[in-house]
Amino acid sequence: MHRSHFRLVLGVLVAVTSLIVAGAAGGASKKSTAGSMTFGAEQEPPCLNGFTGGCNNTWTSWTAGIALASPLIVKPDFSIKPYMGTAKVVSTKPFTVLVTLNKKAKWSDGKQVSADDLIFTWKTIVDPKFDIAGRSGWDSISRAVKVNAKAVKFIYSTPYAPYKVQFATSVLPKHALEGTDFNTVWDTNYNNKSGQTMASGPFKLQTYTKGQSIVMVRNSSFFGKRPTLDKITFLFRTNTDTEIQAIRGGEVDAIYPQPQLQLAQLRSQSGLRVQTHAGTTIEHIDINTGAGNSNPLLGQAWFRQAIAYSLDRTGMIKQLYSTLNPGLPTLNNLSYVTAQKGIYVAHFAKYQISNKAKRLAKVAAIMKAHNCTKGSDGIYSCGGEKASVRLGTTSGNKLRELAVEILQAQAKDAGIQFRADSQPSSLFFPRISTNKYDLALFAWVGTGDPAGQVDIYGCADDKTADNPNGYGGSNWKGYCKASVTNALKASDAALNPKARINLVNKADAIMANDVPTIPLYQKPTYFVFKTKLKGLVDNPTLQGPTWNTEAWKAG
Amino acid sequence: MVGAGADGATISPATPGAAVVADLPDGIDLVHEHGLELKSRSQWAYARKRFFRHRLAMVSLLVLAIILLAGVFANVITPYRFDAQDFEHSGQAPTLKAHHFFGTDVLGRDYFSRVVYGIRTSEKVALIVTLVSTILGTIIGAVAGYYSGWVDNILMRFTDLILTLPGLAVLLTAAAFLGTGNPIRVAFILALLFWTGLARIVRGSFLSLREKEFVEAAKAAGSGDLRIMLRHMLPNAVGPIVVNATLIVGIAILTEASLSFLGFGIQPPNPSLGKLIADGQDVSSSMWWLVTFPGLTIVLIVLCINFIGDGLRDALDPTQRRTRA
Amino acid sequence: MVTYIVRRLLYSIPVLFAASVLIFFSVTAVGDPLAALRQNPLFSKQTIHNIEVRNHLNDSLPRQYVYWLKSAVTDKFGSPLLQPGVKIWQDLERVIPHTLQLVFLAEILALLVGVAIGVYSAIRQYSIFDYAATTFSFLGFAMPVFWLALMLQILFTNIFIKWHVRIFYTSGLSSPDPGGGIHFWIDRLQHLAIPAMTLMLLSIAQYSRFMRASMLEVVNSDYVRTARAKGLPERTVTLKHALRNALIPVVTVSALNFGALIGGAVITESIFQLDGMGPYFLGALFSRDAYVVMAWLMVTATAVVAFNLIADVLYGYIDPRIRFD
Repeated sequence: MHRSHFRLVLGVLVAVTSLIVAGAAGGASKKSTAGSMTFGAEQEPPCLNGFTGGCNNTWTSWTAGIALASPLIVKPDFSIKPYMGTAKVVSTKPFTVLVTLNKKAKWSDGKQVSADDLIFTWKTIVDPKFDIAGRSGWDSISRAVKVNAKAVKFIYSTPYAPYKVQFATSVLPKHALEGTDFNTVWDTNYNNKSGQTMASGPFKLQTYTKGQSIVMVRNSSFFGKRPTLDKITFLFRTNTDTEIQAIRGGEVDAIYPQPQLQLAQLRSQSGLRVQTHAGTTIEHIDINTGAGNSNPLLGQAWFRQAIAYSLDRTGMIKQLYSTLNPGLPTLNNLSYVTAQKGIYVAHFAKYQISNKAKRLAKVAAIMKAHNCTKGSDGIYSCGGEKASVRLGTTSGNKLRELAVEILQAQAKDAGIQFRADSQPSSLFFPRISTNKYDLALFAWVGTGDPAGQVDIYGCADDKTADNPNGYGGSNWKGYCKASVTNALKASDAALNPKARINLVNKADAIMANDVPTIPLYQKPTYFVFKTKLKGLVDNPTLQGPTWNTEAWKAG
Repeated sequence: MVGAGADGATISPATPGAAVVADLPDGIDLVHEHGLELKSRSQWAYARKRFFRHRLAMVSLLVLAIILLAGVFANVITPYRFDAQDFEHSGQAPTLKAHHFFGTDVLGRDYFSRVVYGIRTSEKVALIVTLVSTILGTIIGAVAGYYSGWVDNILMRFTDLILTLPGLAVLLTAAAFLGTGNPIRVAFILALLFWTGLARIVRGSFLSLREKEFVEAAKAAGSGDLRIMLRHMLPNAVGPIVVNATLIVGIAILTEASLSFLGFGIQPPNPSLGKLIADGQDVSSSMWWLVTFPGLTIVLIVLCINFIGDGLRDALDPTQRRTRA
Repeated sequence: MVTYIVRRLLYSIPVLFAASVLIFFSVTAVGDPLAALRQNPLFSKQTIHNIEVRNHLNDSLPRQYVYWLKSAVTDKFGSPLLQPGVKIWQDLERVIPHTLQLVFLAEILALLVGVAIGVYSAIRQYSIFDYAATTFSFLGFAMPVFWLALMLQILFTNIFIKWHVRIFYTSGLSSPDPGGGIHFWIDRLQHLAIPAMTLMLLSIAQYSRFMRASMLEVVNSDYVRTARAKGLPERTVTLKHALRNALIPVVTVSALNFGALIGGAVITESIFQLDGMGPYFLGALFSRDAYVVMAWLMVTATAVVAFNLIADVLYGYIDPRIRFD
């Protein structure tokens, strides 16, 4: 090698070595202070105002959203309990809810959280000028009556059964936001008009470095028990493998990732604790029973039942999740989750036949009863129509792709062919929302409360120009049954909890025979954190893992 | 490969003790020593002979042929179907039992069978991408470099346009219109994006070469443009073309892997080498064989093609005196 | 030369315009930016209607293009479709420097190492070094980026777990409290080191192969032989005469690489959570946010065109025989 080259290479080597030494020295001395922790957030909020459509992301409320407390909170057991206030039904004609705020609830700038704030929150949410994501419930309120400085009576035009979910929404500060453009004002901070950060929750937003982190510090005005931690830093880490290495190497102290197979290795990692529960995200297979599908057999209930019988859902769940969440149950109800004891009824359980021979025999019996014959490739043909349909999911999601492959093999054994047609989600969802699919495997993000199911399973009231079939806005299955629609609609207005549950289950039982959708399982949550952290409790509802940050302790 | 004499004839420096060999235009060897007989060979025959003497290229050719033929005859040589799941035996390490030479994957499918079928899919994709992009890039680059002037300008601006289009956006759009999962369609679209690098390189070579004396001489001798480009300039530009083509093969297979990583890939249960790596890397810390075997196959394919390319380039370069023994 | 540069810049304008039209139409024609919102049955229909009206989403495509053009020129590319309070230009100002830091680090190191390896491989053709260098460069080249990234992350995490020494960070741009001045930059280098290594390996393979190939051509040429015959020391022959001409293909490839990588090494930046052009584009593309995609495209297209021009100007500088007409 020539001398000049040699000198150059030597120089580079010296530079790199000194870097390593400097870095190592620096790294060793940097230690997190005892009162702080780092949380690896799997998604970055597009902006911080969780009320607006553009920022509406679960991680928005799980990170910066800690600063804005709500009157009620959803606990890990799916019950909705008082937090910064209470909500009580005081009259049913007209339906009236009395919301009372905690006496000690105050904003970080010293002002009390008041009835005015509650009324302002309602007015902001229903204001048509603003891009609000969720108005349901709020747009049923016809007027608000201020009872005292801390209490408001909301009077509804029609009864709204899920009112508790409605009041698990953050309260907005009137004095900080009045007169501002709500679409833009809180995109990157929660400041009031003098630039002070506003908070009613246990932590307040200190810094938001776009693309990198959100830093929350203790809010000394918090109405509840004084939070033990000084600081929580949320670092955005979107790639599963990166998250795993980050928590192994101590670059973050906790992660809350979507379940993926490689996460199983963290169970055996020393110094880490794993909590996993069946969550409220409902993985299911929607069946397109009407126009847009490629096989008219899908319009027949018996054929859909045969498909449901041919699948060993429990076996698939075991194959996919035995290392992540060993006891993950099969979901057999479209509206309630397995944890809701006394409410959840397993209407779809009849389709789960774990014994392979019995399963194949059942499908064969159905096929025979409808004059279907098996072809030379093992696939049935019924009246000239081959039992072959497309099954698609969001590609790039490994577990869903594996699910498709497992289901393909199961159906093939029973004589039904699934042709895969998966796509990345940005292509997949526009396609299924225009009814161009046969079977689609994806998820609804639920709350454990069946509000809004009529939109997914029911017929709409009026046939409009862009909805000529009159299906519910999110009903892409071509499925319309009056009995189901009426039951679900009535349930949204049923104030008696028991009556409500019965109505929802009535609709579910009907759908268990029609099979427009096959429920699969609830996607498990996966909470991993260092054992030195105390007080962290997984909350599989939409409230998320940061529901009780005031109780967190480090070391 | 500069310095070739007129019409491909070469004058080499006289080395004491060796026979003086002069290649005359129609390729007649004249050997003055020992009264050996004359043997006429064309320049391409001479190149072919040199290629076959390149041992590394020959070995690589053999290995590559074995791999490619394995893909072609996949259904004959694989002990299992590539989609036969067997949950009882999932995640097994490579073993000789039950012919699971490469082990099994997460769903219990025989990995050797999946890799062999993966070779079949990947070789289809790689072949199309490499051929189409190389031909396209060479034609555009040659025409631009040879004619220069406004032809060069327009072609290079067109190249710029293709270069500025973000590949992912084009692929996503194409996928939406044409449907994903069909490897041949994906391969064609990839090829339409890959030719630009080669076009610029070939253009650069041709811009250089057109100033050379032998081109002037050929023009003076009355050769047409096409003949000059094909017979005189192209053989001299073959070096970077061959190098580029060998790199493209590897890039094509790997881009397909990245597409699978992002969710555009082949539809399950069909495997391709790229998709196998993308799928296997989730569990690669506990099941190392899921990434290693398809990965090694890609490396082997790319290495072989590279050495063959070396041999080709050495054989086609009339000035290269050092033949590989 | 100056007229050449000015003329090239003028020709770039129709190229950029054509690219903008193509990409705008493909992003808007295929897919619906509000698809994700529509999926949620409880999402307010009123809001969806607001967003459609404000962004003219129901207008014809050419009309939407004109709205975009207007906002691009008068409002620095405007705001994303769903976040009217955010300014795209501010986001670009933030992400571009992050990408530049990564790309410069990776490419400069890759050039130095790649050229050195290529030159030495050519000089010692078919030696052990040559074979080893070839094999290693192809190993690095044939490894998919996402797998290599993971292996490096695991390696450095294991080093930390075993010896409690933090050499490099496996993700992110900076630590939460990096300090100021020199501490900030050392921290930044520690975060960029592994991503740069991942990117480098592919480039080193490219540069070393091209360098080797063109050095081999040049080393056998007439003028190099002349230089040797003149009695010049081997080092002068190599560095002053051979290297300069052999650099031409490498210059092309590296200038194109620089230009292309400005668009972000998408997968690398996504995996390592480097807030750069890559993930910025990926997010916008997958949510079909045309305004963000277009702004990104205009920036990267300009970079590509600029670096193409730089490559061509460098040609002329290095090879004096190339004339610009």
